[in-house]
Amino acid sequence: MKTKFSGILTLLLAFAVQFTFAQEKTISGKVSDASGLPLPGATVVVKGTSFGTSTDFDGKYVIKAKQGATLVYSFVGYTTKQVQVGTSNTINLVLEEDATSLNEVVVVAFGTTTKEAFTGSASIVKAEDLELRPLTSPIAAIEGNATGVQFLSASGQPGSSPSIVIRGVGTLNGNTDPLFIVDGVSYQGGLNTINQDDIESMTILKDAASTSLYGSRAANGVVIITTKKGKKSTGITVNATSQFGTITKGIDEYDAVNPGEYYELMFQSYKNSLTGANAAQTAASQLYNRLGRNPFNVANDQIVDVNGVLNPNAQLIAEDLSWYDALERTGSRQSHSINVSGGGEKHSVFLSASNLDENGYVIESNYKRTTTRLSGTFDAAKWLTIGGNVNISTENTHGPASRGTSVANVFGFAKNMGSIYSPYLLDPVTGQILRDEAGDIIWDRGESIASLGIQSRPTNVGRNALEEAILNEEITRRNNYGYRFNADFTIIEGLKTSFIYGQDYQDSINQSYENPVVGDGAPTARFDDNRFRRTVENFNQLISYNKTLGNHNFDLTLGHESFDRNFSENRAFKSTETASGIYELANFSVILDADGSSTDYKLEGYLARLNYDFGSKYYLSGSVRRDGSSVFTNNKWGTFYSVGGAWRIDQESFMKNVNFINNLKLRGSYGQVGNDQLGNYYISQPLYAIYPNAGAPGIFWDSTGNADLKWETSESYDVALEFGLFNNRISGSFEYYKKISSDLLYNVPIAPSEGQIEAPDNVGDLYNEGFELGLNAQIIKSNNFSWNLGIQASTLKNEITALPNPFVDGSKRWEVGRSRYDFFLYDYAGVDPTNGDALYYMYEEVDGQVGVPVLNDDGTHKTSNSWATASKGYANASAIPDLIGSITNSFKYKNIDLSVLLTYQIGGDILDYGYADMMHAGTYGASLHPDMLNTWKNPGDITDVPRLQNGNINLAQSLSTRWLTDASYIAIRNVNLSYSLSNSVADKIGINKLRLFASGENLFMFAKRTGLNPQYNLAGTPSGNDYNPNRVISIGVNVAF
Amino acid sequence: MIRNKIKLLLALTMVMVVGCSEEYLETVPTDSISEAAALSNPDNMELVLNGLHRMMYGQNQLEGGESSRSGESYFIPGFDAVGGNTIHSSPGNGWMRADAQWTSHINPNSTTNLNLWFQRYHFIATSSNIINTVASSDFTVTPQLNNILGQAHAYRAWSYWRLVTTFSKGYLIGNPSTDPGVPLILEAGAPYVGAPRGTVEEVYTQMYKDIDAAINYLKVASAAENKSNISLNAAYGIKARIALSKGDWAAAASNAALARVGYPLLNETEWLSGFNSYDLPEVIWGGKVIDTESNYFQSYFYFISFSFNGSLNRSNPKLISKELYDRIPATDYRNKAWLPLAPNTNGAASNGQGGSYLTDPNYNDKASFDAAKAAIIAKYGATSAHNTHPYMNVKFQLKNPGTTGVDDVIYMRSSEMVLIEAEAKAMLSDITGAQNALEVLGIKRNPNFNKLAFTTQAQLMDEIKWQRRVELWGEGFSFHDNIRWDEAIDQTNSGASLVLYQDGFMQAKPSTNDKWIWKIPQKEIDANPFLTDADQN
Repeated sequence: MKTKFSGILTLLLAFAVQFTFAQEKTISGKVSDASGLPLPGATVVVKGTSFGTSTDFDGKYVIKAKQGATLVYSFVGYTTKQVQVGTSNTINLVLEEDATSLNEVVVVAFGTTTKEAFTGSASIVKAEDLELRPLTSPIAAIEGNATGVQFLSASGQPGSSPSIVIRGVGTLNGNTDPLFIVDGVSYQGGLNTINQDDIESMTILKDAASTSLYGSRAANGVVIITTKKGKKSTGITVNATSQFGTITKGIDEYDAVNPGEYYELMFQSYKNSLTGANAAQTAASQLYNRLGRNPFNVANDQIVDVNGVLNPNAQLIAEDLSWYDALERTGSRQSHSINVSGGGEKHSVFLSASNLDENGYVIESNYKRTTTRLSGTFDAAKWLTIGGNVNISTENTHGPASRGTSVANVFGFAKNMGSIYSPYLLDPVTGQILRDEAGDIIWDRGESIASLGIQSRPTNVGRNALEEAILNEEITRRNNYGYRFNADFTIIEGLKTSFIYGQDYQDSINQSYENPVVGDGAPTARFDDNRFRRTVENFNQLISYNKTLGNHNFDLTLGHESFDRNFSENRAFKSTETASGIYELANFSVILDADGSSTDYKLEGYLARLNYDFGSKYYLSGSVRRDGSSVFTNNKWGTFYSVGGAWRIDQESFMKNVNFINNLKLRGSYGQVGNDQLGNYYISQPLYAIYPNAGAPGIFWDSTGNADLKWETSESYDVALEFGLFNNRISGSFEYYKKISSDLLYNVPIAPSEGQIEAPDNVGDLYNEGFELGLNAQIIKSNNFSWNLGIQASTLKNEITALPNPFVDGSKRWEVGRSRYDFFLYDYAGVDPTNGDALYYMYEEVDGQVGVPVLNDDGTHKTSNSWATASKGYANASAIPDLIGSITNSFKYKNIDLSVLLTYQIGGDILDYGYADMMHAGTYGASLHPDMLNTWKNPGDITDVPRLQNGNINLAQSLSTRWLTDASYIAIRNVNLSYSLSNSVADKIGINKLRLFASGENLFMFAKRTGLNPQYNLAGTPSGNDYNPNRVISIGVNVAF
Repeated sequence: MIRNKIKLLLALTMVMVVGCSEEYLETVPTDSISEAAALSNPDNMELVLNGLHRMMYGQNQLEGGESSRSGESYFIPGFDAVGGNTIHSSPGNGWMRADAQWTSHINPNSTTNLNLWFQRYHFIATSSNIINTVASSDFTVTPQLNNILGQAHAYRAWSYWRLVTTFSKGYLIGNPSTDPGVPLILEAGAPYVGAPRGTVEEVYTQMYKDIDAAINYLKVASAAENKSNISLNAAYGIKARIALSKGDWAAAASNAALARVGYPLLNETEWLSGFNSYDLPEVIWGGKVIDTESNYFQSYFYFISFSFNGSLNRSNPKLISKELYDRIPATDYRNKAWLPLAPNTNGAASNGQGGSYLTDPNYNDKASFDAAKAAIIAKYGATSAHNTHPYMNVKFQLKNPGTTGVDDVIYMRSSEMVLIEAEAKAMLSDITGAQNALEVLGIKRNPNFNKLAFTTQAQLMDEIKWQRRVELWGEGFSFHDNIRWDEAIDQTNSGASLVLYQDGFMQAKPSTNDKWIWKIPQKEIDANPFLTDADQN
């Protein structure tokens, strides 16, 4: 079929050519790349004319030309070649890949440009970077492939997407998501709904000169995602990929003490909470009564002796004490995707479909996704091109929901349960798992069962989050659909008008069923049905004009954009189940809550941009945009502009003799963008929310509003040197930026005595700055073997430069001269050897300056055993790393490719709450970290772990420098091994390409402490009770024909 | 060429016409109304008051607050946990354990402290907003407007009373003219500048102004819509409470008497009906909770009642002190509200006597032990998973026991007013007056009550204290009563377990022990420019 189609195409082309140039000679041939692969879609033009053709799917072409004419062969990403037509009728040609990639097209705001003309800062992730990785959210591929971009790991919940932060956090309110543009229009759906195989490229625009045309939404940078399109005048290509993988946890849980150690430590806790001579005796004999479970084969009052030492006869008889075994499993992942593309002379089309089925490594968690996309471009007339695409993706996510601090959070439940407790009900005598009549295990809900002689557990009594997760149902079903439509009118040569219209919809049904047996749904069961629809409409109208006058090239764009987001939701919450197993509202009889509301958010912008270059040596670019937002009341409109310039030094005549330099470009830019986001689209309006009293209508003062709220502005400076040396064997760029954010929007903490706890305002200024280095070296380049090394490194600095009043924000305190991620904590000073007290360095406020050390008479820092007395001080630690980056090694040996991506972070601190929770003061039943074995026990003990004492609030303050942990890590993010069938073999079996590959994501994380996820959040405050990122190991096959 | 020009014009026109209309950027929410509208007329102000009425007992809605601190639904049982009057029988699932152990309210980062403070100040700000808006408007004076102003002033007085009695040293045991009070903020809205602590005396002066204004307005106001509104009687009751805490005995006595007019004391059946309805005749002020406004596991009955179906209730029935209970005369029907011989079924009971007849000294065989529990479950309604414990309360019973259903929250009833009157008269050394007042309640609860048994101020006060602790058990008064009476906490003979109560087992009397003063929330100190850590209690 393949042959037939290309034959017909060739024939058609030949006819077309024959009609026009009947007098001329027919030349045919094949265009291929250095490895011999055909290059379909390469352009062949007769120089000095507009007559030309392009190669077919097999790289073949036919063209008429006079002898002596010059044919120009070009293909994006390859060096253009010229050949004079001689006597031969056949010209076969090899195009060399353009290693400098200077002609590479860069997708920019409202258009494209070439890399050489681009004056801003961007990182590009191409289809090749995506195609072999088992990614659910394509943006995961940005990690390690773009400088200056920080990553927050995706949750292990199948279907999750990581978050990215471009060039530091420029806001105080913490919204760091960049603007995502998909095919020219703002995209608000989940990034996990885009099939990675549909993506042609992702361009990360970092500086304000590149992003300012997006005005208000671009303060956190812009990621432009371009989906694949068909190519004109090519045959039909079919590309299919299948992957099969297993999923395990990517980060291990925190270590915990063993059951014997647990009893010994809890003895300390109990004994130290008692007074009197019999404290040790009481603690030894009654410790079981505090803890409620005895996993040993000795009597309940003889587990530890009066010295707190485990009975040497105590043997563990409990059959199963592992909550993680009960919680986890080996997950699986399967994805299949197929696309077909092609095009005729005046049109091109692309159709894809994919299916993903992922079972997480935690029970009950899975995700299914189906996507499809159809796009086409049609040259309707000489002056009109119409195109567009339609995409649909459906998702089905199944719980357990991560429930934050709720008891029902399975991760927190498993983590915080002391080592002596079993998830299952155990026979208190034999330690064997008790089973019901059907032979199934019975979960331990921690309640006392007198008939079995089972006591209640001191923590989470009446609950078992794992059992609840199994009995509950948590289902989210979403349909995402959208379309893009564009029409380009060519009015006169160089003058074009374009319309781009797009809508994205998300329809979501979230159903949450809580069982009648155990947990918050008991005793009647309850059911929550939450549905929403989000509609985002975006319309751009653009006029562009370009003109060349000698060496002067001008390119002007004018435009208008409107954006309308509507979100509408309904929720009903009912209790009292009728029949089990029916998860619909009708099955529940008592209405607990029924609600619904809509929100609107609108933007409008006017924009203009002028690009100018002189002789392809000097480039200038300027833009301005005026943006209005519905968020503001009195100050709706803001104006943002940018300028940029580039100088291609290598094009200068004085560089002609410097042979080792192939590319040298200096560029710089300045620009502004705005931000109107403060977590709420009505933030500027003082509002009273609905709050009825026993059915009588009522309202309450819900928000302070601030009619004078205005745009937060971010200005950024960017300067960079791009280079290519030694035949481009070494290439890269070195870049510096400074991003100054002013009039920062923030919900300022106000005294709760004002009746509200926060009020929005434009409060201060801060900046982020950093150096970014990207280096690529072809260390070995030979016919059979090559080795490419890529290194990226970026520094991050953040400093607040203006703030009317300092604020305390959780573990941070913001004041001028410090970063927004500087820890402000109770300063742990170690342990008093005489009594095991935790000590805290004392600070006081002097003349408005907080954190001033209180000194002893001898000049040493005074301490207190009460953190409240000691007050907080700055810890001289920040959650911001000093350096982040990646190292990529790619090897190629004949048909085998191997690539290894490492990512790293150096510096920065984490306030490890997950660890702190396991280093508590001796809460009965709560889990303990092995570091607790160093607890102070006797006067004179020198240790940094205070005594255990149940109920003492001074021993383990969680907002303390004691938990600060170095955030440095190195991770093996991705390893990819692939084998491509050689062309000759592929040809024989009638296909174009066959690749077998194996890929591993999140293979290893080397961090300071087992259990710690250093990429949990920007603030460096991991809770330790979330679904940790997963590790995916998969194999796959990719075939094209 | 002309065709091109036309095309250009056409294209430009299209770009122009799609420019948006001026209203395009005007958006408003659908689940809120603007502040201007909320305060634009008396009808809307009534809506605002309704919001406050709900907030008195509802799950906390305030941004930055915690939903579990559901107004009085939480703070009433919370004050009795700190005050040691409702005794926890086991660690339960942790709710209010830290309060009972005295590790919560002494912590400036405590969630409870912040939410109590924040919610009461939210009431103050909302009330001030109403009061100040009316003052600067020219609304026609109507009974409706008087009702609105009366309730706003009353809420402000009541809120300051909650704050100053909790976050400052007790008026009667300190030096009110110099002891730091709580910030007096009577302006609402921007700029949010905060205020210094001032003195306790200044706060009392403002409370008097407000409650007197409230009473004056409510005298000429439309009647209260229902018991969740502050009626004239409730305002008198609030004044009586303020005066009592200040030692203004005459005012306390007279206002308490006025407050209960029209609210006859409960009879036996009513008293033993479970205190779950504000329709009980002696309820002056309370919150009505309906199904669609459930507080779920953050409701009053979750924290206090035995038969609510929550893990806290199943594992930790709340007890009355043995000392208090054992003093209830046999003829006093209130002795039926606690079950001194309920079997101790919970192996984790903190007194170490739980689990079976083997550990429970009240039982000698399994059959009677099991039968006793079954009888309680059958009579009071619960599930077999509910534990029972000696001295457990059945004073609070759900309308639908064994469920998570809704029940009302009572804030003020006549018995309290009778006891205020009796105490005030006793403190005034008006022995006869105190005897008479006491008799009003005493004879109602116990037909053999003899007022003449109490002939001195000391005897009267001893009886009044006991009456308050029994009659008002679980209704949130014990913590502040102890401050007023300057009484220590000593749980030695109460049945509370040292192992569970720890620091909460013994606390020196309030005049010598500043732990009775709750810590001001750290968030207030951090954000109020007038306060530093040095202003902390």
